[in-house]
Amino acid sequence: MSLDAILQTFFVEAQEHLESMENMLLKMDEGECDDEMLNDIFRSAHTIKGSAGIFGLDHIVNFTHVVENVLDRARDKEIEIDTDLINVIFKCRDHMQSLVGVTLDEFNAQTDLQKTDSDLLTALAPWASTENIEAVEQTCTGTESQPENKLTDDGGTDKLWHISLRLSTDCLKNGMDPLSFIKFLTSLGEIKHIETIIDNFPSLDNFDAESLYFAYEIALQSDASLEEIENTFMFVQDDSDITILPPSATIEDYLALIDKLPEENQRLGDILVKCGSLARHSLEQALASPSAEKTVTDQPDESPAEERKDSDATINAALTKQKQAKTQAPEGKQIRIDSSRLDHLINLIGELVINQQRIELLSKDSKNPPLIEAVDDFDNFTNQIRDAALSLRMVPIGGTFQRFKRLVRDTSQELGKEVELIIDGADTELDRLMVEKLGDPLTHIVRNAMDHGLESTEDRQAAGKNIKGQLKLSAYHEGGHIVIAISDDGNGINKVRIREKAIEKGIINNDSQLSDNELFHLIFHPGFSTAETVTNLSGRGVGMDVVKRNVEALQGSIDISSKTGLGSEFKIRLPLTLAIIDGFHVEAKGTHFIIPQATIIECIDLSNHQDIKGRHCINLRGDMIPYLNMSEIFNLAPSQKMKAVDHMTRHTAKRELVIVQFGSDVAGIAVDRLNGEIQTVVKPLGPIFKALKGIGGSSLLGNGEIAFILDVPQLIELAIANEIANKISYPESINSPDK
Amino acid sequence: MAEIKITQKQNNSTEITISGELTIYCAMDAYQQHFQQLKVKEITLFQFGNISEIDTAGVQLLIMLMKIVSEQKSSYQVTTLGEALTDYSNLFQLNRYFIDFEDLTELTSDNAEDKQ
Repeated sequence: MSLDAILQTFFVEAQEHLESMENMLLKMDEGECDDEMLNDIFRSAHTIKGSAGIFGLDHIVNFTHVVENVLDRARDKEIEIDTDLINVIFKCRDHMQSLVGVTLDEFNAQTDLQKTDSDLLTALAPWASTENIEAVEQTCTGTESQPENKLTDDGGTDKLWHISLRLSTDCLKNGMDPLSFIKFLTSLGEIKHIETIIDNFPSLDNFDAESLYFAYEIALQSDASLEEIENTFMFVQDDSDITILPPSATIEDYLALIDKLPEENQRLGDILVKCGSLARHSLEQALASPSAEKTVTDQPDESPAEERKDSDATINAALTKQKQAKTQAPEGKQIRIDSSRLDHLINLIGELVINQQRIELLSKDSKNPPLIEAVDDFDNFTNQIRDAALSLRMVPIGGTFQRFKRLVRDTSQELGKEVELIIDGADTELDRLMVEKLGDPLTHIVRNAMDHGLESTEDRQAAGKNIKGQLKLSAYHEGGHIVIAISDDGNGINKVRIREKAIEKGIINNDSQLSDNELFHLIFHPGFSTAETVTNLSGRGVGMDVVKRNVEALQGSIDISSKTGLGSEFKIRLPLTLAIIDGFHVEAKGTHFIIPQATIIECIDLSNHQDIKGRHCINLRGDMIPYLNMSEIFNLAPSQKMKAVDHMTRHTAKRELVIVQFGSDVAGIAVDRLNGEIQTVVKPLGPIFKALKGIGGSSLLGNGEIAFILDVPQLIELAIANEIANKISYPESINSPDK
Repeated sequence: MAEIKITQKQNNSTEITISGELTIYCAMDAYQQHFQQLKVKEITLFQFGNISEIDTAGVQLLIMLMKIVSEQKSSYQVTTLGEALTDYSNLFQLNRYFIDFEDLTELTSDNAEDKQ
């Protein structure tokens, strides 16, 4: 693992700890406060500080150190956690997030960050101990502030840990210098002895100046926990042999260590004695007679090792846990993978799918039954591989939802409204790429709901509602799509106000007849806002149009429903994935199209149905279904191949209709030929096709031809619009030749 | 980057002066260009006083250098240590190699005979 990769891991883990801190703080803010929560927050801060120390990110270490100390005082019940402190810690957490994003040099160059640093340290002062206040002052005045040594002046505790390090030979090449770890250990306690073992130095010819040959045996006197010491080595533990023996370790533990290490037993024993970890006579007895090990342990002995044997059982349990963790590590249930590697895998699987389709076509042409059967099996496995790979990129929406707790808290404080956030369906999974792009649209909707949707406390009280407004974020599956709903129990959207504003802005005419749905969708018009006052949260009319654009870019749509006095709901409907979809292959005038299978209800023979009054609309079992003709929509002319086929077969104009649904809307797509189901690897359209409406992407077919993936929501919208406009003649092409 | 100067003196001694940054970024070049084929006289004097920065790769290189010198049966002495190396040596308790010379035989325990 390169240094960049390790640093990246630090950033990711720091982010996770910051999220954990935020979640715990939110719980505490809601009145749930127990020791374990405080411990969790403390541990997060401590781990960030520790990891930052390893990378020399002193700006993070210095700031987090003071935060950590305040948290430590709260853990020791020296100070009380109140709302003011929680508010400051929230701000400190945010500042830590900013600090994690910058290097030390960048921090030193950014005066605004330094000012925030200084302001927050001052804000922490009332809760800090005298010693911490000095640290605060030192940090504020720019003098060096190092993490405190946990030992007391009189030599502190006798908790002597033994750390045995056999780091990976590639450690230095990967940018990890043992110097960083040892320096950090000095912040956890006092290194009583360190033995740098040079036995592994190779001959002159084999010496690689960039490999690590040193090994280390370290005696550390510290009150730190096993976890804290282990965290020091978190970035090198995968390829290294690291043993941490707690103060309670028995002589058997030390003998096991000696046995495990590559160096000669007596020499290792001598080193352990030098470290003060073992008593000379205990070692000699044990090494002389392995069978006497038990006897040695059982005998009373005044050596430090034997004294430590009586230490509390907790540390022994920690040792057991450490051993278990080490043995279980290779079989860990979770691994962290760079997302770009996962994307590469998905791309490769896309190519596999295309090739599989080509093989399938060739096998059918060969009319060789065993080959066709084998290719069918291959097809089956390809599907399974595809599904398994895609599932790797699926992540629960819960992580995104959690972030809104903080947003809702801060926004409600800012607006002076009491708001309860309810989260439902946090386990619902969707493609990671979509989750990343959903953050901004959701933020806009949530802010709007809080600012404009939910009434003020007084208004709610007057309306006989609970003074605490309710905002609900939920996610669920619906017909091959994911639906993310944001609802509130506010006053609902003011239809009259929207209409007035739309007329005022010239978006609609005075006599325009719009359905509720159309009226609500006016809020997505650029620059549209009905807010009486512009706040720094919303009201500028910037945002909702961006929301719609972002959601549509994800092949999704937004529906709005609202009832006056009861509240509003925004439903974002998204496809499960954007990478490989189950498609339905159709043709119109020899051009290939793919319709996402999840949107298809059924296929019918259009020639068996009559258009209603010459419109593009049929009566299907009592339902009026508007439809679009692909060849007209896209101005398709028959291809040369198509003309040749028509000529040979005297092809009659048989037409098929694919009935599709998106949300509650249903429409038909008229095509010439149905080719059947196909796995579709979605490739984005180039910028040249940006203006092309009704097409969401492209795909390569097994025979090498290009197929266009239809944007069903956009087509349905057009079909319904055409039908509403009651156009008797065929609709105008939405893609004129100049586009 | 480290600057390495090797001077063969008239008094049957070799003086090796290292200054600047002796880190992993230059350790490989330093070893291959200056130390792999190094020949020293009966006495070797190390001047490390001007090493401005040193990391573990740099310290390993110095230990290797001492090993090379020991294998050629040259008696050696570190005449100046410098702040960077002193700090590292104190932290890792390596003074026995750079200051006390007590355990020098340990360096060559596998490959060399007794030091002169």
